[in-house]
Amino acid sequence: MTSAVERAQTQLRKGVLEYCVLASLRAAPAYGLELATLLGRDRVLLASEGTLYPLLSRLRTQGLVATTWQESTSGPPRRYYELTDDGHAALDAFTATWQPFRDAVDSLLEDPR
Amino acid sequence: MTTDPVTPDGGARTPQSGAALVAQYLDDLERALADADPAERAETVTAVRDHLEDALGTRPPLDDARDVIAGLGPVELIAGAATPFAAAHGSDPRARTTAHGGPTAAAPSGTVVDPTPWTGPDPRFGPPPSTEIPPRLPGVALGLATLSLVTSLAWIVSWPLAIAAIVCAVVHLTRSEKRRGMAWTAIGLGVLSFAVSLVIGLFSGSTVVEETGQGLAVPVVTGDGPAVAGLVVAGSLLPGE
Repeated sequence: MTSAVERAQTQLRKGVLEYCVLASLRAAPAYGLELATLLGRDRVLLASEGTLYPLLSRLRTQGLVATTWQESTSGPPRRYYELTDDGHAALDAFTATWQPFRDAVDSLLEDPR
Repeated sequence: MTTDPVTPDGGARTPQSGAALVAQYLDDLERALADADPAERAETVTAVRDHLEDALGTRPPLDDARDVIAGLGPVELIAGAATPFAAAHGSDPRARTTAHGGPTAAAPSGTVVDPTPWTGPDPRFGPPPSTEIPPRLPGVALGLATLSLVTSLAWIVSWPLAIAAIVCAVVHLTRSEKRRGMAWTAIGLGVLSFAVSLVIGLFSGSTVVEETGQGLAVPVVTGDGPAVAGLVVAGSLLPGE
């Protein structure tokens, strides 16, 4: 039986996780383990690190991220994920929407009337 | 949260090493993704394999492998986050079955199932187009350019190598933003080598190939200059004078 907290987390992830992935790539490209560690460290955004990878595949298919190979100092070349122009645009749109959305939710949670 | 890998008939297996556990986990993941969109399945399995290699290396201790696999989560959870093949190709996304033919359970909590239709090419007709440039191309170009420069005195060998180096480097530059410095270096060396071999070929002793009485070709140095060299390049055989 799924707890109410888990259900709420699941619904929220459906809406925002892909934008969290895009946001984590805004500053610089990152490889899979790096992203999984960043997004999964508190188990809030990612239920498990492995679920990141199908999402990354879809983001690449949608043209929001691209992949490149970069040399590694500790092994074979690594596949890096980076934002495309469309990815930057999608992230900008989400960023502009998120603040008023969050304010509206906070407002209702704090004082429904 | 961890997954104990099981055989298809449900029997538990007990890997004896970290590498065996990793291999078993990847096998289980591939099976769990049997109903996923094929391109997404291949990409997901590859990415999870990269994750494991980055975290563990090639010969991980069993306990370390267990910890990293626990972080990745059960393969069923990962499969639940993938786009079903039916959804990707326009059928009812709920008409899924497991690898063993049974109905699929509801997506576990914490998964994100995106029903967005797959818009890429059908991977059954070949791998999806990749935007990834093989990182070796600039290295190949530089190697060819260097070899061309080293063999400049043998100008017949050198100039094709220089051309090949330049072509490789230009192809890389038109397709990737990575390692451009190496590609430009290869172009520079290639041009230099081509010029050197050209000068040697034209002015420092043009070579005429002459047929001998035994049917063998031997090089003969003459003073005929560029015109004779051009004939040799074109494959003509001139009698020695």
